[in-house]
Amino acid sequence: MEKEIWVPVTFTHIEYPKGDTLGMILAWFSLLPSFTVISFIPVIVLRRDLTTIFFFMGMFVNEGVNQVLKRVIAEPRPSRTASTVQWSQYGMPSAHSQFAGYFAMFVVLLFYVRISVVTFIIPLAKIWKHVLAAVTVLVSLAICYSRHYLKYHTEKQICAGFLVGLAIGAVWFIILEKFAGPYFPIIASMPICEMLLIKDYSLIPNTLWCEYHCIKTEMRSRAKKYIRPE
Amino acid sequence: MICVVCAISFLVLFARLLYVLFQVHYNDTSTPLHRVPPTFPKPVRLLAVAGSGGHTAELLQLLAAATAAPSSKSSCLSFSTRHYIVAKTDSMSQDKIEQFETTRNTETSVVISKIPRAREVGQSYLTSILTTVYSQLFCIPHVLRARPDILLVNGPGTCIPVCVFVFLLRVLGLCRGKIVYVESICRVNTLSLSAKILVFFADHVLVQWPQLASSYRCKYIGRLVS
Repeated sequence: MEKEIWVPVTFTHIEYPKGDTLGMILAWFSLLPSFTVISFIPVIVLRRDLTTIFFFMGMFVNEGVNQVLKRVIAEPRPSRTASTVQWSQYGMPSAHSQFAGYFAMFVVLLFYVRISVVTFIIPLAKIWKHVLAAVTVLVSLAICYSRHYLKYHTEKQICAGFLVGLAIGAVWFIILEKFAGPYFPIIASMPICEMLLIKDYSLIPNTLWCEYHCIKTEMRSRAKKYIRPE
Repeated sequence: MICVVCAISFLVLFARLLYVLFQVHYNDTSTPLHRVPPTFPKPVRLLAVAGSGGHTAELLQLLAAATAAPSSKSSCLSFSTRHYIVAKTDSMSQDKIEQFETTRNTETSVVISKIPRAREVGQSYLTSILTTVYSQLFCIPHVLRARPDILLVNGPGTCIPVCVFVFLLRVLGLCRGKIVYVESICRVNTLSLSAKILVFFADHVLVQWPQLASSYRCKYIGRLVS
């Protein structure tokens, strides 16, 4: 009779050398791609915005390309003798780095090509775009470095993954702007989108301000009619 | 994983298909369904299929009452787009439609598209299946462009591919596609083949002779066309 073997869920299992603080911090960075994908689900359920859904679909396309490339190139991971868990068989290109590249490229393009208007009142508001873009790029690079430090991939695999992610991010953004985007208003007016309350923000320059303003106006007009209970 | 996703989406689509068929077969407007009836956006998107000669004349007579001539002040349905589908070999219908539209208000946009004919008059039923599939493929881009709220058909064989595709889009939730079939005035005692097919999934099958009304789901509306 075989002794049963227990294995962890591979997506959430990141190993680092015991007692290594930097390793522990970088392990959390390695978890960020999984966290980001999961955190997109409440964003999509609450916001139901076609651009966000398109971004989310691109993550799956990115992952699909990564799975295909991994099987086609079939390069093994660097050996880790102290580890007991095998992540997946192949290592080229690195899926986490590819996600980091895709996310960074798409977010940067979104900030600099799509979002053109800033209408905040606080003085430093103009630089929020640059700060957020810089933070995104730095975090992506940290994810890539964590894959190297924790010995999940070789440098070549990480660089290849990052570049492929950047390329897919750029291509997906071009598809959004040139091919899919012009049809978003038509798609948003279809009965299925009206039933699921899926909307399209693409013509609104600053959605944060627009939502705030619309809800404030609505609350004001309702407050006038609302008779407060004594 | 992919199998699970496929199975779930297939079940969802099948449930949606049953729901739409239920909606179509139990659309008695005097007793509304438990929920509020669906509302159209105010200007309606119309798609009409024009068949050979007599069918087009009847169709235009129906539309003459529904649309406004520039001088009239009567309120009727407002159309945002009137999209006509004619058979490729049918230039007479196209001329009649263009002439009709010049007498109407110019606020609505009018589009006339051509597709290969699904069945010539008197063609054998066996070869009709092949030509119907052929014209089905060609009607897809036009129907996607039209995305009709109402599909008005009159009887020609060419309308069946269009009706099937509009029904499919309605099941998928991509257009509102209510199918209204008005049987030709020449069909006095028996329903045409198109009507017999459409009884299964058209919203309204309207006949112009009372003896036909006893057939399943046909409503007698009087002789609309002179």
